[in-house]
Amino acid sequence: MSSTSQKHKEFVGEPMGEKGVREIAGIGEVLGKRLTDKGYDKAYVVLGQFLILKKNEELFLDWMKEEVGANKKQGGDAYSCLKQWCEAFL
Amino acid sequence: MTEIPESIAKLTNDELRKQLIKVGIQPVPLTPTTKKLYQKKLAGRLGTLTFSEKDPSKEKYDGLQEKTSAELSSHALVKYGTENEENSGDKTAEKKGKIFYAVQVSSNENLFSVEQLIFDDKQSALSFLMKNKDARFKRFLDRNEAKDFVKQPPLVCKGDDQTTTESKAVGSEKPNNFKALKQTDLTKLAQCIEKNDVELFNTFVWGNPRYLISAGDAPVLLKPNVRYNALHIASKFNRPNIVEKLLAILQEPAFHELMYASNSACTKVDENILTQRIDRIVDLYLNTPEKGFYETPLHIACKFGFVDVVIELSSHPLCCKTMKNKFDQTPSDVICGRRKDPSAKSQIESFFRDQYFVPLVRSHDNSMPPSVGKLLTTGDISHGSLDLPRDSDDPTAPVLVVNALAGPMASQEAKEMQRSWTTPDKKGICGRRFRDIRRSDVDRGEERIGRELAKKAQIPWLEYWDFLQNFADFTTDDGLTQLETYLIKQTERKYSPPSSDIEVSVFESSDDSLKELCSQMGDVSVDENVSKTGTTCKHYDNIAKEHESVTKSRGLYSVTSTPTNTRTPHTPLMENKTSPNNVTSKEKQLFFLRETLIKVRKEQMFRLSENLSTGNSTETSTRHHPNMTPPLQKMSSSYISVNAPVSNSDVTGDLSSKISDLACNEKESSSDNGSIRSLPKSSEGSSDDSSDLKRLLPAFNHSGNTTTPLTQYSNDNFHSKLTVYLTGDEPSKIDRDVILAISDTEISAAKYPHVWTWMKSVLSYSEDDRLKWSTPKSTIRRGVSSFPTPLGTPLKFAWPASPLAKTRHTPLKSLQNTELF
Repeated sequence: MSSTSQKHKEFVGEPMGEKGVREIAGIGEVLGKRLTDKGYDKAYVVLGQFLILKKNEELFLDWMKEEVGANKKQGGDAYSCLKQWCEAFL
Repeated sequence: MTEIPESIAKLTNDELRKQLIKVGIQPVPLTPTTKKLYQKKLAGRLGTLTFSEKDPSKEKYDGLQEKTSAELSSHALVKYGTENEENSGDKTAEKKGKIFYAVQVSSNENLFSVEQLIFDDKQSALSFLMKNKDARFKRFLDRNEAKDFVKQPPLVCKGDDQTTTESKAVGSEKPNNFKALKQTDLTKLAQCIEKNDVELFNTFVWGNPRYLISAGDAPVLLKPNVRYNALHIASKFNRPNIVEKLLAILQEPAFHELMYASNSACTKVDENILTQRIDRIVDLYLNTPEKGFYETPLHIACKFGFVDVVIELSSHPLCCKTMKNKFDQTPSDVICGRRKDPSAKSQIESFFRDQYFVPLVRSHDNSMPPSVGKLLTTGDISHGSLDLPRDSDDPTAPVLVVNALAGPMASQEAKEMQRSWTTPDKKGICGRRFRDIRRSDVDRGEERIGRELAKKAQIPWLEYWDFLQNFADFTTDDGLTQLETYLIKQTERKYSPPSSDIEVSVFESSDDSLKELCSQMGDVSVDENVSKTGTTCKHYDNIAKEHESVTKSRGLYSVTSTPTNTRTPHTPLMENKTSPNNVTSKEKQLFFLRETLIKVRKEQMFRLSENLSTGNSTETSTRHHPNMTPPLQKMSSSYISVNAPVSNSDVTGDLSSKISDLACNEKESSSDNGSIRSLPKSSEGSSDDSSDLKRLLPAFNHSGNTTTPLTQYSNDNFHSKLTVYLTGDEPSKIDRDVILAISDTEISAAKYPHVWTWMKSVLSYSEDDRLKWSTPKSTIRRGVSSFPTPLGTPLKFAWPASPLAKTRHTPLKSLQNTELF
């Protein structure tokens, strides 16, 4: 990706700690609400799902779409966000 | 799994989630991996599933885990062994045929035959290696090659041995006494910072300094993946207390001595090295960037808008405010960048602006009048360019030193302060008072004015105290702690510990009697006194009655019957509202009262001075011996404190206005050398009058009491014997100065017992007597020989203390040398 959003930068730069799911890039109010309702209230829960899918982009995008109806852009943002975080901290 | 009822098993994800919410389980992610677990949980909650004592499934799970972990470890072992082989790159050999593992043992051990040292499988070779540490093994495809290898004399890595012995010889440093910490320990410390548990933090760190200082003399990374040190974490979680504590501990020489005690057990750590070490580690803590954004703790605190943490960090002289992060931003660029409401933004920004200080410059021997110096900036002070320029080349010219500092503040404020300090408002009462203070107090006058101005503007204030050899502000806890330690030292110097105990007990008892006195004084009953004392007293009592009525009519005091606070830390303040009614007839009576009182006092003085054994004070013996008045003034001070609730607003008012008034009075009275003080006839007459009145009222009561059994207290001179004063056994002007500096700060007897005791005894002298105390010679600043010592802890605002202390003596020292020639 040529440029990344501010949100992405902020997420990737530090440990996620207890950050909410909305702090992941690509996940805004609507998706955040849906995810929270489904039990994915914290960023680390989504990270868990991301890891269970073995960091696979296709599977993760699919899952985002199925679970909360995220579009390709949103899913992609969230994916790259989590991926870079993992590269830095895992 | 068959135990899960069908009704639950059939539920779809959404239904199952709803059911779970119904039984009180927050929404959970339902995936193929989690679904069954939550189904079971739901079943358990609904009571359809009966759990046995020990959950069988869980047991099974545990067993499984154990098994896998065992497998894993053995796997790891194998992997460890094979690493070398894989590196050698003949993976294909494995497929081709049998592999031999030849083990080579050191030559002097011929315990094993060649055959014994060749193994068919790696496991046994490895287990053999475990028993023989020196052995090494290699993999062969051919048995003969393996045999050759075994027979070969082993290559002894002599280099290794040599280096180890060498390093031992060179590095004579013994290993640190404290055990190295594992990541789990560090995580515990990180958690304790996150939870803001200062106590626990303290015990952790003092228990093992390696929690904070790593083997490389650098900050320990508590979160290595992000390279956060303790300060990063504390900043991120908004823990100003931890930040303060951490910086204090790091600057504590004792902490470093603890850390490096083993290195130099016999020789004491060189002071220079110690300060260098401290500076280095504090610098590293404050200015090391973390891994994510390359941000310093100050960046982090600014970003999240944590005002308190920013104060703590930015007030430290070593904190670099211009560090840049990954995106080329300084801390001031990112203020409140991650906070929704920017309310704290302007406040934090103010910490980044240049801060100004207003200094007061004196010559070291006080031979020239003090002057308010030109403004200093933070940079001036932290860079140590506080040495003042000398006006002339004359070596005999006095050395100029900064005696007091107000600040930090914005430039506008600083200019304002400078102006009002040098040219006080001439019209107002304020101006008059300042003028009086300036004239009456050569040693501390300017400081007193500055102190008051700073207090009014709520600006931190620091002034130099010679006896402490340091800067202090006695209205703060820090300053009081310094005073307390000083007094403890003085007491120790004077007494052995048991006698100091006695001292305390004496004061406790006297405190009780004080209360008694106060309560007696509170309900001044004419009859009682009449019966006890003679006719003369009767006379006084009549006057007292009138006096009381005077005070009542003026509405200035109400004589309360219960002393609310006998050990009040307030200095007796006599500032009063000027009452409009002018009672001339009463004043006449007062005049008379005063006359008679002074007579009585004189008589007492004669009597007492005969008993006095230690009448060596030269200055004060002329008229009022300080030792004769204590009980009287004790009463007066406590009496005023009784009145404190009534005139509270006045009490908290200007202290020095009162002092200056008194100073005026004092001058007047001492100049005419008579015993009768002329009544002030100035425009502020009524105010002055009332303060006189106030002094007289307790004095009167005292005169009534001299003939009662309470006389024992008028006879004691334990002040001179038991109390320690700041400059020795005699009270001096410094005591008064410090009392003025303390002003109306609350001092708890529990926290500062020595300060409290000292204050009580100083306050037991009358204002008049206190004004007469002379300036001891030692107060003349021996600018050259007395170096202020840096404070152990950074003061939140008043941090210039330490850089000042550092910079001060260097120029002076050089000057001294020039003077000698």
